[in-house]
Amino acid sequence: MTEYRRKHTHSFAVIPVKVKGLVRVVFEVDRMTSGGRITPRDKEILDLFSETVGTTLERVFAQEELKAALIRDELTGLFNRRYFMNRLSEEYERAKRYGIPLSLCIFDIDNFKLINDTYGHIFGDQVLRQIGRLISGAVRHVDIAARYGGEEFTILFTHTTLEDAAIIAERIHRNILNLIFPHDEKGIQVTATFGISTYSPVNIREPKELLHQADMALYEGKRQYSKNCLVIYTGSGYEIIQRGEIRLEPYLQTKSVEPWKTLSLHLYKNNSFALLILGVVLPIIILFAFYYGKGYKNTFPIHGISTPDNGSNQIGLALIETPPLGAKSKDDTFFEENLISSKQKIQRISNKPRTGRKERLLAKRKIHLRPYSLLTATKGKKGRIFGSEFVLALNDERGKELLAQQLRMAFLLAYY
Amino acid sequence: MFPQFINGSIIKDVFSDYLTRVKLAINEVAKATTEPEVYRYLAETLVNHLSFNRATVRKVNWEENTLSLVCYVGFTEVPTLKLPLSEEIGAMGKATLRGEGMFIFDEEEISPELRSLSQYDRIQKEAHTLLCCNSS
Repeated sequence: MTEYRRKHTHSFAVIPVKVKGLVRVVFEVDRMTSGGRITPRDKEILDLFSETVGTTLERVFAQEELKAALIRDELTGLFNRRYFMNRLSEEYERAKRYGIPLSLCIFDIDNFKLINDTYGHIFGDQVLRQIGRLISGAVRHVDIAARYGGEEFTILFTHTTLEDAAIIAERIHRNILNLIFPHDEKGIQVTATFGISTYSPVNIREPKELLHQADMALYEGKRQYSKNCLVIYTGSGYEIIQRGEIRLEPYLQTKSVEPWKTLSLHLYKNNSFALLILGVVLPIIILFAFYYGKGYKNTFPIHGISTPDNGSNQIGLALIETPPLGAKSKDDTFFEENLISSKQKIQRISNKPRTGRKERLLAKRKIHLRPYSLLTATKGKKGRIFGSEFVLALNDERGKELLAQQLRMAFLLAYY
Repeated sequence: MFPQFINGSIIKDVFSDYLTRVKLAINEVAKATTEPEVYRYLAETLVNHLSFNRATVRKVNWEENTLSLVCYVGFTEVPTLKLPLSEEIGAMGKATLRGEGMFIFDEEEISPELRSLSQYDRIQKEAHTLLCCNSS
């Protein structure tokens, strides 16, 4: 390069372009004998030009970042639901107009809530991230892979028949089963259930129906075939085409409980169902009942409140999972006990004597205050992680205690 | 006395023409909306408006320590696609690593036999943008 330049050019300049203080681009200009030489005046102009390019690049990067944020899911890097739905409509219209095959696959991670509750949301995020990466690597560039919901993923296979879509889905299923997530020197595995549908002018008349049939196939896989399988919608019914090997619940899939797994697998392979139920399933149910029965009051509705490691009690961070929309409180006793005190608290917060109008307004507010907006009644920084999971951070002198108190208040307002 | 000192308007005209071209070039680059467009407009304006013979634009990849070619104008052959990022490669490596421009105002006279080549180069003013510039 240098040799080439030396032979051909008369004078030249190399100018770096900085974006936020970091050199991102560098450009080089040459001027030959016939065009004159690079002069000090050119230097000034090129420096000015470099600044302009830097500003333009900064703007373009910001725009591209914004654009990506609009269509991409931040955690997995896949497309988000909005973009997927838009593309589904477009691809559906194209398939309908030109008679092109179009298939849709939806799958979700089995017992993901259990994974989150057992190993924490950070670990859950790690699982989602890795599965997102796996999907990105498994699908073609023309396919549209998206995170549909919390642990649900969708893939739209354009120009693809049901058989071909099933081959790709089978591969993804196998790869998910082979994934091992390290956690505290243990290897944790997850399973997934798949549902696939394909466009047919007879059975599918709108884009949402294609999604619905895939979702129904997924539901069938969970209901009828005990999860960890791949079910297709054939037009007339649902058919299972792949089943993963038997696996226990995620919290039993660690090396530390290997004897349990070995025992259950042995019993299963020898068709000793009675023994399996008595020896493994029943203790699991008892463990579950004990676990949930003991920790119920403390875990609902607040998943956990943590404070910084330095022992300061000033900052509280809570992870909350709200019950489904419109659902009544499961822990009625808890709320009834706190009812009287909560009314007093409400009065104290409002700091004004109650009037008839105020009461009516409060009653209306209670009706409209749904789980998704209940956190507006609390102080601190709020954020929705995904689905029904919220995070709330509070920086206050009383920190943790006040946070718990506020959350209880919010739930009382929402459900009373 | 030179004529430009006698009549100030001549020198004013020369500068205003040049500044107009610079302004035009800046406006050209500023209207880009995508990353490849920025590189293409940059290379094109450098040659078309600021009267340079050739221009190359390279993107810095700090993870791989390389300079990838993203756009070039005025070359009869495709320049080296990827250069290692070190001061050994010359002015380009130095400029990138030091973060300041390198100017060689008068390097060497060009040999007469190469003048025809340089003339040929001057007419290749179409920008070639290599669309391998996914931002990372």
